[in-house]
Amino acid sequence: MAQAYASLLELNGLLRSGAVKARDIVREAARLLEAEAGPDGAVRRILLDEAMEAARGVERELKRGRTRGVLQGAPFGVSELLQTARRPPAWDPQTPPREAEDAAAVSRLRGARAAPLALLASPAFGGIAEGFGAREDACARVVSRGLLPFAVSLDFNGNVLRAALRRGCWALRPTFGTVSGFGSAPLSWTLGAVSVLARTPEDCGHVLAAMSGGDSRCPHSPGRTFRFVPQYARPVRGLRVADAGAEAGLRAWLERQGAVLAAAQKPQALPLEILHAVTAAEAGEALEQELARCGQCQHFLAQARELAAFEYLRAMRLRRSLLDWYNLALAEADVLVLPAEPWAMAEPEKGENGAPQQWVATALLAGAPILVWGGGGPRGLPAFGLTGRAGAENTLLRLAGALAQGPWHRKNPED
Amino acid sequence: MKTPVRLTRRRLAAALAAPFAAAPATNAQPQQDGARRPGRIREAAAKLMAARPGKNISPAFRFIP
Repeated sequence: MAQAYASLLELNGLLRSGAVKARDIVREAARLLEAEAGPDGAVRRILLDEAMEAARGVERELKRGRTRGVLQGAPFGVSELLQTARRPPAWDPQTPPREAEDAAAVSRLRGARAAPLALLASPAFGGIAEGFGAREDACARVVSRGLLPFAVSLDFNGNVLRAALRRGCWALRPTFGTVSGFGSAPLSWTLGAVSVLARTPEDCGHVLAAMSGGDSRCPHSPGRTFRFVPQYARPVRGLRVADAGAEAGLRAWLERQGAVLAAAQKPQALPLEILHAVTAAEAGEALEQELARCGQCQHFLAQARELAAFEYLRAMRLRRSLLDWYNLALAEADVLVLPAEPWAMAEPEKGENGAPQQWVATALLAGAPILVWGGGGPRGLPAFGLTGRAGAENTLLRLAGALAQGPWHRKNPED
Repeated sequence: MKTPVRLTRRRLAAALAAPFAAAPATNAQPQQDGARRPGRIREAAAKLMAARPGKNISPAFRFIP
């Protein structure tokens, strides 16, 4: 059907023109998702009744001319790392269903009249025991295959970004605190950011704008809302780009478009070690009892329990100096371009000490926004990662939008 | 009827100490380096303890200035 592989803008156009009905979109998406359901599949549960009810509401609204933006009537996937109403969260199954609320991100998306249609599988505790090998593959899989226009999940150590790189879709991890962490798995309080996986960079921007905003239930929320206005961000011409090993074709394109390229500095030492220590201390403490019951997490938990307050504080003080260094290092650049391949690694330890991995770990620790594209086959845009200083989402999305319009772009992998 | 218990200094001290007394002294993990199994987090912690950040750097920070 037309809606498979459609971006949010295209889907909304179809809905508003009356070419398709909201319930048909939900029904068709559920049919496609059924093939992915099952104990080992990407889909844990299809929320058909709930989504059909929401779609009926959207149809009623559209009938009387009430429009609510591009998310209206769009079905989406929610990772198990985020809570949904009336369902005990995967990390705390003892919670009574009536006490389970929607995660702030899910509740805001419902407010924009998008409908959660699928609960998507996540590795045990987000795969935290695997360190840099953790990946939210289920979310990336349903998005890249066009089963859903977008999905939301929790990124704590680049798990969402790696999945997008592996499966070939866009993923945006916003500045830390842009989206409230209420209702997300306590995998790391000072690292976790609710992230979006979508089929175009514009869709990432629209979804982030709907999810963002202050929340008194989240202590890290700065009370700001993200506005998706790429038209006011710096254009590619004159954009100062730091290159940390971008693919040659990408570099040539940037130069042709008039971007000012310069080699990125050598990253400071120890970001990966800080990342490992902080995630282990925070997740180990929060999920001690649950991790103790998980067979594959025993070694991780044993190490996390050994961490002393001294070591956690040392990690956090080193992180603070790394954050100051990151802001200084990017003072002369609007965007840092990262090669995608070395940090989309399948092996957790493979090449971990390379400069790109250190840059990624530094950006994660600094709470900076990161946007990745997983590549699109032989004719497609090559895979890459973009990062910048806190709050640089619009700049990243504008550059990504321009790259996606380039001669290499194609929307449907089956074309 | 239940007789109210008078809160004496000794009883208060015992009540406050109870949760700590109940907790195991250690998490039954050997602390000697020789006995430890290798692991990513242990190696990371050892490297971090060898680094020396400036004395005036606080562990607290704000992400968005």
